[in-house]
Amino acid sequence: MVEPLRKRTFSANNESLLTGMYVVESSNAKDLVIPHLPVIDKASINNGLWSSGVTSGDVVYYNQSTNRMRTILTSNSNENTLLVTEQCENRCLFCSQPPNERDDIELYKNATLALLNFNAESVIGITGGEPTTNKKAFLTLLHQLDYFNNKTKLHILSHGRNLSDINFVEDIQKCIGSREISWGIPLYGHKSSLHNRLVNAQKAFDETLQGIVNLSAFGQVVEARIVPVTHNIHHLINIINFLVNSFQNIKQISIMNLEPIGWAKKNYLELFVPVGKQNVYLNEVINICLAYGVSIQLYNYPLCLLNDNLRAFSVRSISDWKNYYPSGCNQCARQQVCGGFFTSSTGKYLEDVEPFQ
Amino acid sequence: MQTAEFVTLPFFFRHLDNRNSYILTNQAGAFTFLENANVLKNVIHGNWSSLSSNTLDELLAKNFISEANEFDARKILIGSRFASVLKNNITEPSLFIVIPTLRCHHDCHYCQVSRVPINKKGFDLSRSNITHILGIIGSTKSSSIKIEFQGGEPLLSKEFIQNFVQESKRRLSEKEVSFVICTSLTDINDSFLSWAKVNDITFSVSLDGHEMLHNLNRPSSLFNTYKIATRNIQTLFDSIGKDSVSCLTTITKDSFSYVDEIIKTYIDMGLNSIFLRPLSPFGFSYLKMDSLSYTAYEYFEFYKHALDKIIALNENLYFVEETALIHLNKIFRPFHSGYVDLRSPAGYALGALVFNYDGNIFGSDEARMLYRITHNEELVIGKIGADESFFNHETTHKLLSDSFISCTPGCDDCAYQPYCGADPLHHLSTQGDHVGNKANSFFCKLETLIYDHLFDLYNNDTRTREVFDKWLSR
Repeated sequence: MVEPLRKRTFSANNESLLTGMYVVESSNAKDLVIPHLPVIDKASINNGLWSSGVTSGDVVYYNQSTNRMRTILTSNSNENTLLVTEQCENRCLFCSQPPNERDDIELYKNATLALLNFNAESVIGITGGEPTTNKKAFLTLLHQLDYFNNKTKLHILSHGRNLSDINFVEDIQKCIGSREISWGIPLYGHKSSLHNRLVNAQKAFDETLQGIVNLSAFGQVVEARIVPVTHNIHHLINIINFLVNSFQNIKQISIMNLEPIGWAKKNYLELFVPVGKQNVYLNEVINICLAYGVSIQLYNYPLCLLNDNLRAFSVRSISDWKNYYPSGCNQCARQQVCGGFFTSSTGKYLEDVEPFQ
Repeated sequence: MQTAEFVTLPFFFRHLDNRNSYILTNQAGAFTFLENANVLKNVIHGNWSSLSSNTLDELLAKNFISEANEFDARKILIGSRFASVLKNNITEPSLFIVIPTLRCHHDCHYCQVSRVPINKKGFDLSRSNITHILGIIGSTKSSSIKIEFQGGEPLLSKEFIQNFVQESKRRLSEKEVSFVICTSLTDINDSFLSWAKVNDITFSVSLDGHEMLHNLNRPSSLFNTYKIATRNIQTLFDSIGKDSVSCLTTITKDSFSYVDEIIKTYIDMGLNSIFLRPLSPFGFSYLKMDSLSYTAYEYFEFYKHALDKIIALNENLYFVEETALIHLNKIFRPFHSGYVDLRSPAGYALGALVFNYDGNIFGSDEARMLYRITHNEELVIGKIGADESFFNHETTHKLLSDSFISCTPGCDDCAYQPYCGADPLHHLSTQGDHVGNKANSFFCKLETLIYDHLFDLYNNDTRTREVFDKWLSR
């Protein structure tokens, strides 16, 4: 296992803490105390055992049996994301977080508490599983945030299928209030036979399209996400054409290079397209997005493997706690501006880099 | 690939003479090209096995056909896009045109507003109207608006303009307001320029070409109009900055022979765009139609030639032709249609309101031009300070109902309908009704030729496509 840029989990032996969620308080990050809302149990600790990387105001989870602490939301991270469920209707061939059908309603509850107590100014990602599978829990989360007058901006990663229910979207709209919300919705094909095959579910294509249109009716903005794999890389231009010609609320398209974890790791050989072979397809679609005025971003692509003209569209997208630079990157002149690799990209899952002089 | 059953979705098609190919478009604004009539027939008759998988995927990607099981979802996509474009065009006005005076020191043959000489009395908007006009503007919902002073020559009424701007800062503080003065720049002075700079005023100036052509098109018995215009454009550049001036070119029959000179004038002035426009059938150019006018084909030949030269120039510099860019925006940015003359329903009263020197309110600049020569009272939809219910005026309703081009004859089956608009005043002026017979319409002919040409260039010429993409991402 390689070292990520930031450790999310670390040892933190503390006898005065029970298992549960805490907010870090005080500037030297020694004490964990109860926040001001009546939603987290009162507790405090006082020690400096645990390692750096946590700041006052951060939300952490302490596990008494393992003596380990995990940051849930931290102002030190480039991206904060909350997992609210592991349940999902889709079965994507490259799912990085394979679904689990057990009752995990406490995840919604913890996410709500974390959001309320962190009170971020930056955008917080809501992810799963599928955050809207349990419609009621999802609405409750939004409603509670609103009730406690929390203004956190949310980016919700959803397959969009449940949004095909216009009443549900209307209910969401009522809970949103003045909150800024954006949606990240994946579309892997320009036709049902392709998309449904990749997400391994019937009806998914139709429901996702209807979901995006329903969001549009309420003025909600969508970031469309595409994961290029063997099955759809030669249709990338068709997928982009479909997006820019079918919707009006897709303001951004993100093309996301495969993360070799979960089912993507299991199906890696069948799915994976080396970046060198993706370049020609990526080239084709950049100009379409420019012409149609839709911004396009390339996620999870090491700069050196992209064609020169594509590098401007690459963003440092990998969350720091699963991000690293392999030893080949040590001499690279552009490491500071490159997104690097997932910590799961090792061995046969790691592409050879070509460091910049 | 699993074999799927396909269904056609509604689309328009048009033969492109140049390459003997076909363009397909749909109500969602998508377009594609088919190489010949056989391919088109195969699509229409559903001979899917005769079509290449590339063609099928392109048609699927752009919602021209559907896999059988997903038909309902795609139907909703097209319907929702179409509805949104309509809805986006049903707005409250965001362009307000104020005519402080109809007086002007130019004697242009083509004057579309039928100006009067500078000493003539009774052609100025009195200052007492400012409060009423700002009241109307303030009551509309648009939060970002443009106020344009036109004439005559608005700079003959500097004091009116300065009062108006000052007053609007107070009365329209809730709105984001930009001010434009449409002027020949004949009459400017230092104190006015420093006032304009402080108040972020921009200027729209007529520049028809080199000295000989400009003076021919825009004569004055008082002075050399070219020399004054170019000198004062330079003065504006130096004192306020390059962004404060945009120029537009009215193309006459005389202009046809001077493509190079027109473009060179703009480049030499250091301008980075040119707006080539045909004469409109209003004002003097309406009255002298026979001697001044040309056919859409004649104009288009000139335009095509000019556009070719401008595209070639873009190898080395950034220089936009605005008419082309307006049309490209209609194709690629259907949801931000800023241009009021290519909308469906028309931008009449929904996009613009005109406050005339005589106190009359019109729904478009063309309407006041036509009123000037016809005195047809039906064109007047309100009076400043007296009757301000222009949205409910019968003329507004009639005219707008006639301007939904998805259901007007000649437009309802046109492949360029998704990108085009209605021009009811043009047709009223030339044919006597809002819709007109499109077979005899200069407007329709010219729009069709322009779209044919732009699509042809975009699809077949990589260099041009790169230039267009560069313009679009401005």
